[in-house]
Amino acid sequence: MKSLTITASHAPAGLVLEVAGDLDHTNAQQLRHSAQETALPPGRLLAMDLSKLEFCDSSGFTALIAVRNQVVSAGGEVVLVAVTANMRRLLHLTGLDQVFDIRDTVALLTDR
Amino acid sequence: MSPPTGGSDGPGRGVPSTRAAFSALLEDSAEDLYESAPCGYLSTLMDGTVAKVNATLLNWLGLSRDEVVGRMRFSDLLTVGGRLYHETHFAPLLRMQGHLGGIALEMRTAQGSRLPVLITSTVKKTDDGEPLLIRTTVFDATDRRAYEQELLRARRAADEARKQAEADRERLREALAVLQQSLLPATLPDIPGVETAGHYHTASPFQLGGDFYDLFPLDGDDRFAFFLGDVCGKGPQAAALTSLTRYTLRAAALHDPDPVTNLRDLNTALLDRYTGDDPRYCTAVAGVLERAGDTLNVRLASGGHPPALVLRGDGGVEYLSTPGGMLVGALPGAQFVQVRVTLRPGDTLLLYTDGLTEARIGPHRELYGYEALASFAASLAPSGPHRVIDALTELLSGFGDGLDDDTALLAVGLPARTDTGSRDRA
Repeated sequence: MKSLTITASHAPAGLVLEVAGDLDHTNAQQLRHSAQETALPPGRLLAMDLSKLEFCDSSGFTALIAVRNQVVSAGGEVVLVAVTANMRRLLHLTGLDQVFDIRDTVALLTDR
Repeated sequence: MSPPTGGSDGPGRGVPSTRAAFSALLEDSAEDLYESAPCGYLSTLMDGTVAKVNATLLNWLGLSRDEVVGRMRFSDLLTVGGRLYHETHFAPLLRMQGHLGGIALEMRTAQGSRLPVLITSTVKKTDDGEPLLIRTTVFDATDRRAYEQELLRARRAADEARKQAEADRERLREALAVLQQSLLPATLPDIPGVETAGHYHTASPFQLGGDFYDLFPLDGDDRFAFFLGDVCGKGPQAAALTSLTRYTLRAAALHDPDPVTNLRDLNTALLDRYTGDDPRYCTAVAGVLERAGDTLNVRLASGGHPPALVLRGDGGVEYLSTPGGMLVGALPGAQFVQVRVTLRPGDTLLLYTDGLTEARIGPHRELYGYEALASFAASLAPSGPHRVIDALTELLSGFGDGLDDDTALLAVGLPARTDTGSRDRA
């Protein structure tokens, strides 16, 4: 098991959270807290960069959904960026690929 | 202001005072050293009669020299238990070895209290090698004994706590097992002409899992509803969610046996119960079995759940893909997708949770995955539900540490016609 590292950085369109390592029931709260602390203004974008996410269990998915619900209810948008093949498979299986905006790179955000 | 000069004077004063202490020590008489030593000394004749004893020991025992010397034996100074030990072990060993050290005994004081001591004895011999007398040192072991008793007490307390914790753990394990069982059907219903089998693999006896399945009659012997799923998370909260999910799906199916509607009802129930900040969801397959002649028509809807697998009587294997079906309970207006499949004699429908397909196997912890499952199923097909479940149960136990999630399995099938024929002939 790898530990979870969440790194925040600002982009013109909003905020990027790089979620790296293993996201599971032991640390999923950390992602929720990180997202809550950002206090994104309405109309802005929260991008979660998942390129270094190596594992995500059901609690991890719960956290992703909770973050999405929170940002959307505050008038923002959520984008998942650089999703690994395994994660993409799970997002497809759970139908979440219909709910999350999934993009290949963070570069797109900076153009907004 | 001048610097302090004390530092240079110090050693000058120290040397003479050390010298004074040394000379005082040298003037110390051997007699005084014997009498006032920090340990007890006594010498006895070979029969144990005390010949000489120092003031320290007399003081500890509260006895006068006249009471002891020539009148008492060493063993008279001991408690009953100490005396017994002395007679049976100490004295014989000492006679044999000529020396005995560090033996714990108890002496009895004049006031009647016990004095725990450590005894060391040496036999002094004549030039001819004949035993002459026994010299004994006695150390007051009161502090040591108290320390040992404290250790023993602490150890007993730790043992008690450990036993209590083990008992609590066992009670917890039993309670969890009962709770877990309550979330699964005690037995699967007997459906004439249809074979069914289920299995629940518990990853940890101390962690309630969140997988569930059920199979129950809708009306008579012709229609049955089933479901199988996996709630998010683990532990008591997952169990509560499982309970809500299971009874909602059961009630929904009895009310309107339409799998997509049933999953929508569950979606509404879960969203109503759990808010956006605290989403709780499950993935589930729900379906209805309907007999039609010698076939079984299956309608099955999936909400974000791994695809069901059909093992055909002709040896083929196919996944029942339901792309687009979403997690149940996470999002308002979630979409669920239905598929239909007809089971003929010899076909088996297998439902499973992702504990199976997401297991990590081998030294590199590779994902077991759908392809491996399909190959495994192909090696079994054609196979009835019991054989399929038995083989998968064995497969799961073979995963060992790679399987850290609970796994539910449910299989429904129609026995092959040839099977029935051969049984009839036999």
